[in-house]
Amino acid sequence: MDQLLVYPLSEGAIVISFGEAISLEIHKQVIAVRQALENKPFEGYIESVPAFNTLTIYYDANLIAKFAATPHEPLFTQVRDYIIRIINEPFIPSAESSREFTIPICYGGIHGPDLVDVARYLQMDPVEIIRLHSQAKYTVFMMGFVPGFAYLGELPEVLTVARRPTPRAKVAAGSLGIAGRQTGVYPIEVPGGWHLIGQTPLTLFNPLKPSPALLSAGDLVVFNPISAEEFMHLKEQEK
Amino acid sequence: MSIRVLQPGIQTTLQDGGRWGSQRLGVPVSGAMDDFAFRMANLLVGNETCTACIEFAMGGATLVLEDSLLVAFCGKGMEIWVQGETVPLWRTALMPAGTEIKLKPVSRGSRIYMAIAGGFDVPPVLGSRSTYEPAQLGGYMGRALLANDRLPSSASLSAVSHRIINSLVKEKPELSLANWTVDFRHFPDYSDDFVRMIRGAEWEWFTDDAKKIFFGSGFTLSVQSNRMGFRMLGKPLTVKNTTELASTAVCKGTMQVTPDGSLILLMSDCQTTGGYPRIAQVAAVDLPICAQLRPNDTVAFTEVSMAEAEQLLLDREHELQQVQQNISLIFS
Repeated sequence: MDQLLVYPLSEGAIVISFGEAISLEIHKQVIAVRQALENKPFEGYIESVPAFNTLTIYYDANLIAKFAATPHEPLFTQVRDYIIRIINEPFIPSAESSREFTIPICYGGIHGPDLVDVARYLQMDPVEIIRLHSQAKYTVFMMGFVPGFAYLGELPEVLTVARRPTPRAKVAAGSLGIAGRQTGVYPIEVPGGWHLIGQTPLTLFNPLKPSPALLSAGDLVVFNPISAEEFMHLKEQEK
Repeated sequence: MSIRVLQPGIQTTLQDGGRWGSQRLGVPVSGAMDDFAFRMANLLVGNETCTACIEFAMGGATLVLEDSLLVAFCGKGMEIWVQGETVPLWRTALMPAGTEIKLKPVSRGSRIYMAIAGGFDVPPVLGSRSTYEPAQLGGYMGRALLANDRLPSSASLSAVSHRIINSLVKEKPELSLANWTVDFRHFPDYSDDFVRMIRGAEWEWFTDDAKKIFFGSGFTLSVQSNRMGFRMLGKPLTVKNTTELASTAVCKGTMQVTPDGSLILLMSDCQTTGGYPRIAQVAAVDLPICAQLRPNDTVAFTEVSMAEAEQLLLDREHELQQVQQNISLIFS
């Protein structure tokens, strides 16, 4: 990790940039540094937020000032120095491996209204799209957009489609979308521009649960095709 | 103990110091847009500064107190009317049960915070009582207030709140206004039309012309503005090359530029990440000035260094702590 760039975002946030690219290797570095910080937080640390190739660390500037070792130095340089120390410590990878989730998906039909269009555009059989999409194993690169939304990569290259020219004003909760080399499930009803090829009966975000989001950055995900009947059945169980 | 809503106003929500700790799951921080007025309102009634308040955004509203309450209204943009008389902002008041409070919009400013001693008794969601409407999180049933809503107030008051109440009860049986307030020197200058900025991470992506425009001309708040972000209208800001930025860190105060060259200032309900180049970051001490802008208000930007912005923030925090200490001392 030697091309790291550490810069302030605001008076209460600092960003570690791991490079320009989006790759599994960079993603793993982001997650590893986040874990190291969570294990050894500094006085004033609030939270850290992984993105594709950055980790943002939020802190309470007042506490940094209060506990400053070098009070005359700008606060962000003190936080930066601490972070650089953490990064340079010999890293012991956590014993636990990535969590793995299987998410049932009813592809096509009313659950995936864009599957036919995507198939036409890619000149492929919808069945082949379902097979390719559900055979791949995805990594949660980051969470964002709305609570509980996981950016999953990478989608098999043959399934690459651009976003819809006009976003939908409303996408139903549980809808599975694809765009570029990414795929993801909309946890709540929101406007969205991805092509919808299926839907899960599972709840991906419930703020009243101790862990409100089913997924978090670093998790592995596979999709399991189910029938419309199974969808109904599982939906009932979720209630 | 509760407050009943007669007319809810345009966007009236419960907000506190923000939903920190869940951003990694994509949950926005939310919280009061003008955090200075919000915190001062809490201090004036003897609350901890992060206690949930009602945030009134533009337009009028009418409430009825179903019980006697110690209240304070802070911010800008509305007058507070009780029985045909105005109640001053930035002032503690003890109001008896049955008091009807009208908030009437005025021509400058846009957000008022109403603190009540003890705060509002709604369940925290992910550690916060802030309302985040897009995901129906927190606040009062996850939404803006509607007519006939009854907001329960908390029965547990701080010792300071009790003593402030006692000091006011002696004076008058009806609406009783405190004869003290905070030193106006502590206030941000809401009339200022300059907002201080720190250069953003992608500052160097912009053309020299864009940099000159950014610090040399004014920007006007568009009507297309909400708790997530403000669209700021001005001359287009162009980047030198159109490299795509992978979705990365943004927060309240981040100034992003969209591909068509327009400027967006992210506010309390902003998403946890964004993919547009960040031209600048508003100095945290000037965010209250931004929060009080109305559509068609114009502001200009001046540059400060991050170290200066940090010092300004620490000074502001120090002032707020002084106010809190003084109130505690007087009512101890």
